[in-house]
Amino acid sequence: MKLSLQTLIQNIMSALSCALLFVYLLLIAHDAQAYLDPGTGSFIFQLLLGGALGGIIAIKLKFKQFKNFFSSKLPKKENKTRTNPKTNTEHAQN
Amino acid sequence: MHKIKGSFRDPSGFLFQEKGILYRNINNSYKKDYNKALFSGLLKALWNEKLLIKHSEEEKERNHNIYKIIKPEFIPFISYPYEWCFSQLKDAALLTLQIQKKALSYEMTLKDASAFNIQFKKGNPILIDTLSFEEYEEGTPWVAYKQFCQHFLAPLALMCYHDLRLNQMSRTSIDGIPLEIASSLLPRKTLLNFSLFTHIHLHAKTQSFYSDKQTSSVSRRKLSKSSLIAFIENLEKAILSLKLREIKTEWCNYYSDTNYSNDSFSQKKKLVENFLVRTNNIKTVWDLGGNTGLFSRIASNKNIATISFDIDPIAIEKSYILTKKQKETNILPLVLDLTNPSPSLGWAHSERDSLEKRSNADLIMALALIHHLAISNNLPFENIAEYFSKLGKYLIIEFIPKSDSNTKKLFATRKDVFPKYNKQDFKKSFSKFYNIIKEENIKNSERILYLMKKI
Repeated sequence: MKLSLQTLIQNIMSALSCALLFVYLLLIAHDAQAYLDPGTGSFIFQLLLGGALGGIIAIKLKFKQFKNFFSSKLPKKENKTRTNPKTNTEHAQN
Repeated sequence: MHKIKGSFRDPSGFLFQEKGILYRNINNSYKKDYNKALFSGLLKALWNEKLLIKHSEEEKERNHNIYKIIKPEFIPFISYPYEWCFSQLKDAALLTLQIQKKALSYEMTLKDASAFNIQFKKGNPILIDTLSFEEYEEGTPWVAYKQFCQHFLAPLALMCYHDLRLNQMSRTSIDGIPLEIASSLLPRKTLLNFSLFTHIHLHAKTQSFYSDKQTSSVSRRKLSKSSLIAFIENLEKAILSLKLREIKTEWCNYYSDTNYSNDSFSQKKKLVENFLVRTNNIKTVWDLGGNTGLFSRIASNKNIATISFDIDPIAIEKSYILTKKQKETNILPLVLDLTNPSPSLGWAHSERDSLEKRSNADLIMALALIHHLAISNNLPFENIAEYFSKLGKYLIIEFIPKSDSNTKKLFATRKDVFPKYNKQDFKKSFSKFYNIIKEENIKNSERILYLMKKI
């Protein structure tokens, strides 16, 4: 359930970013210098989608930092199951 | 010096042949980018991971426009994307994206993403165009994005969601499948797939929106490097998400549906092996109608470079998956309709060579094929013999008489208009182009295996 909510938020965010950038970029075009014709539409579309994807990643990163910040402030719950000290040592050695 | 006619698109350099050896000229205009790729360590990193063809710099006489002449490693056979199965094209696409990500980490970028720049060497895809890199300028999008979608994503999506044979569209559209065509052919359910919705459908709409717009105003809009990497990774996810459903074709269970006994089958394998041994110094074999490559592997397991051609993309898919699984280096499975082989294509018919122009086989194998060519495709024996003799010096061919149950199937719905389809006429026609060295009956069947040598 938690995962699907996250996916839903992601989809909404990407759709919103796409829509905003699309409107913005429809008004402004970009010239490219290359031997291969990048295609105006493709070029603009890449700016649009790339910007949106980059934005999503940046928001996700900020959200993670935000979550980590608060989780570090909150008192930690005691683990119901005791961790095996031997396993922990093994992990530390690895 | 013989300039390769198809090597004209990129002004950074061109390919030429001298005494049968292939060289690449690097023009002065590409000096800065070549040195950056070399001295940044990018080329070495790609060579170490076997992602890019190695080359050596040659001390040869050159004119003042040429910065360097390099000699790339030899690729025994140049194959084209319309001859690849789904997984071969998918692996080539993933390789291109892997190289682009690697290039970005060295502050360089791929300036093109042509599927023709990828070849299969020792079973694995490899980039063959050393001049594909240019310095990355912070903020610039990927100039080859459109080409990547047209050469890789569109055909893969069409093969995956529509029909495997649509890869043949790459034959008619030499610079990749136009996205508006791909978008119109893909089923509606692909609108719900975020990657295909954006990279194909929305991308095609944006292209058509801008097709008649004035674009002289220059935007200051940039794409950050992190966004560009996120974009490339999104394309990678799009390619990885394309998977073939289980499809049954006419030929995919060919070897489990044979009409002769295990003994006959084993004997046929033995005969093919013996014939291969009899023909000394065979370095390359083309197995025409090779299906999943069972007989092709008799040759490839003898360290002979073997190409296994078949019309069925699923049989070739199976063979390629096996090649990867067994890490085979001597066999290359390729899709080919022998009744309509790959023609010369592109500008002045010289950008992509026909199958015949690329023929380098010492020996041709045509097992259980003759009835399909002569009866299903109405080809006279003489035409078949003539064409085979252009492809290779030796021939191992199986004659299947009309009385064979598989040949009878071909007459189930048609009239027998082939009075000359018999052993005598077969031998007579082939003898015009070949000397028959050996003739062996396959036991418990009416089939005959021949070894022939071109006259």
